[in-house]
Amino acid sequence: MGRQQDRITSHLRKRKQILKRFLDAVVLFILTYFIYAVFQLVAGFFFAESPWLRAPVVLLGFSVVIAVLFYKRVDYFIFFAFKRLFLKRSDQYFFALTKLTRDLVNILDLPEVSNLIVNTFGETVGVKTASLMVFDQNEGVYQVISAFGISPSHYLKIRFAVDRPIVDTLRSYAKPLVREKIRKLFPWQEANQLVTEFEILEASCIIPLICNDQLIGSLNLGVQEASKPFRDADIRFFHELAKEIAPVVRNAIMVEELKRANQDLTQVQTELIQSTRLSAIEQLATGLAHEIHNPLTIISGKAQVLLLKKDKKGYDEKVEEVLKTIVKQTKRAADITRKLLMFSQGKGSTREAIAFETIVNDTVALVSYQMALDGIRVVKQIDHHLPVFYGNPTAFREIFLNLLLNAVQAVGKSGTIQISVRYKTLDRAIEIRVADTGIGIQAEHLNQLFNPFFTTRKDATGLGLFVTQQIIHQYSGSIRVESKVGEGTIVIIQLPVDGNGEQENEGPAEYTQQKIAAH
Amino acid sequence: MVKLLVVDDENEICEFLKSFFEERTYNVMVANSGEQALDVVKQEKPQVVLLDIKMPGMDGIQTLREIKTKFPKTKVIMVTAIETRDKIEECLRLGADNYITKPLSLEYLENDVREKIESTARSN
Repeated sequence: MGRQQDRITSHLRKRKQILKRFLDAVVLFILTYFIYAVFQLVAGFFFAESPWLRAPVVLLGFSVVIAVLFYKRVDYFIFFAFKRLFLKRSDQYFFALTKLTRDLVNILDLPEVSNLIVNTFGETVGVKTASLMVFDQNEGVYQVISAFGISPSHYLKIRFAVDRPIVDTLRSYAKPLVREKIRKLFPWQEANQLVTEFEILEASCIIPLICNDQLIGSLNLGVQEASKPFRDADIRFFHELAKEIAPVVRNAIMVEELKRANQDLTQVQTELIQSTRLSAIEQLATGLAHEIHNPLTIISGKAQVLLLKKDKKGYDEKVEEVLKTIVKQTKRAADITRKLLMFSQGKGSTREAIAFETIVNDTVALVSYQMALDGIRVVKQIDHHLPVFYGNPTAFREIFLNLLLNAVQAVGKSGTIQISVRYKTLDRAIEIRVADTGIGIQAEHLNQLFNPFFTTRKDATGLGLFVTQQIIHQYSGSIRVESKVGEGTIVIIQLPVDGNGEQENEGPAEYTQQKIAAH
Repeated sequence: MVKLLVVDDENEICEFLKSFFEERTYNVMVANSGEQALDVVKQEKPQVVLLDIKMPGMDGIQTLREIKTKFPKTKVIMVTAIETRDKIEECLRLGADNYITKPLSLEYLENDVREKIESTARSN
């Protein structure tokens, strides 16, 4: 970078240095003489009696010392004024544009880079229009992304395919193209096409931006305000400048593409996680249903046949009791797989009034067998008069299942899990707390909990809390985890009630399956 | 005598339902696949079909579509282990007359079959 910077300023430096030396001498001389004159006046007035103080050598010495001390400041003002007064406008923009290349090095944001470039050109070079065209890899076209003096509604529509004459010419010619000279440089037909494209870009000079032999875009300058043509020196300078700007623009484009790719990736990842997770439960549930419900049908069916026959043959009461238990218990077993399937359904964005109590009860029922085996006690505290909250019930079932399974895992053998759902009047939010007396979470893991695929267990996917957080954020809610190793963990979710009803909702609806299969 | 067709890939279910309905004086036929079921429907023209969804080869939904297009008067009751809501809705859209999940309540099933037969008789 440094060397290129030297090259670009080298032809400026000579002129600049001679001017500077000359100016230094003049300024110092005038300053010294001025101070000397003042001293002489003052000394003649106050020290008339002491001739040694009035000696010119002493006064001159003082003057020089003071002049040198103040030189820096005085020089700055004088130089600035001088520059404005005596340098040509083009020399002024040489300085401004050289400064631009220094500023650009620190910027990586493409819109910021392109705006700075076109605005600096527009303001300092005094062109009517200035625009920056870059190659968009996604679309495979060159398009104008920033412009000075052209309205966005117009310049955002300017797109050039890679095989357009102007793009071809810029790539092969690799030097600034000036509209007036096109007819001398190219055959008639090609020149005509190029002129049309100059007109589209409202340009009189197009400077290619080339980096590693690739045309990454172009800087298009319109006519100067005074309508005078660019001098050859200007064009050479722009060419050098373009070599400087090109890598900066290229880097900004790459950063932009990385950002976009990263965004796409995150989105795909989220979708993938959600879909794989749900369809796995779905597959499991339908598979289980088929394998379990068929034998259950026969067990329950045969018991029902006997029960229906009982009037004719007269069983004793005990047998009837047993048969009824068989029918009841097979139904209960079937309910579990049915509940499991309900968890995986309703992926759409259907919103209905969330029945927190039912959801908590259903979830606890799903895990209750495991918990009973482990000696885990569940305490449920659910406000009966919660404000109406609209949401996707499947999503909420998933939240409670995730939290409950985590708690069961943490508690291990014997302990208590406390689930509460309350309305916090002050926060105007529904607060869900799932607390366990389990092993707790180590402090260094606390801030990683919501990262996808973060888990400390071998048999887990590490998606539970990630998915939970995603869902909570959809409802503008918050989730946090407090934990102490050896004492337990609390997960606290807050769902703001305000504005919740404004989102589309389809009102409370029962499950289709429950309606149909009401037997 | 009322003709009833039971379609299920699990033969034990078929046999069980066959014996249950035969005791209630139905003429019960059995098919273990969708293809077989279509043949029986074509030849015997049962009034009611009890149809499972999850079957190897031609599944219950395809079978339902075929039956309802070729023999629209035949009543079809889907008798299945649980399925996703999409599948249930698809069945109803294709003209299934009811949807019952396993394990079955035999009393409910018998009433439903009787009801379907009565409604056929009325419409005739």
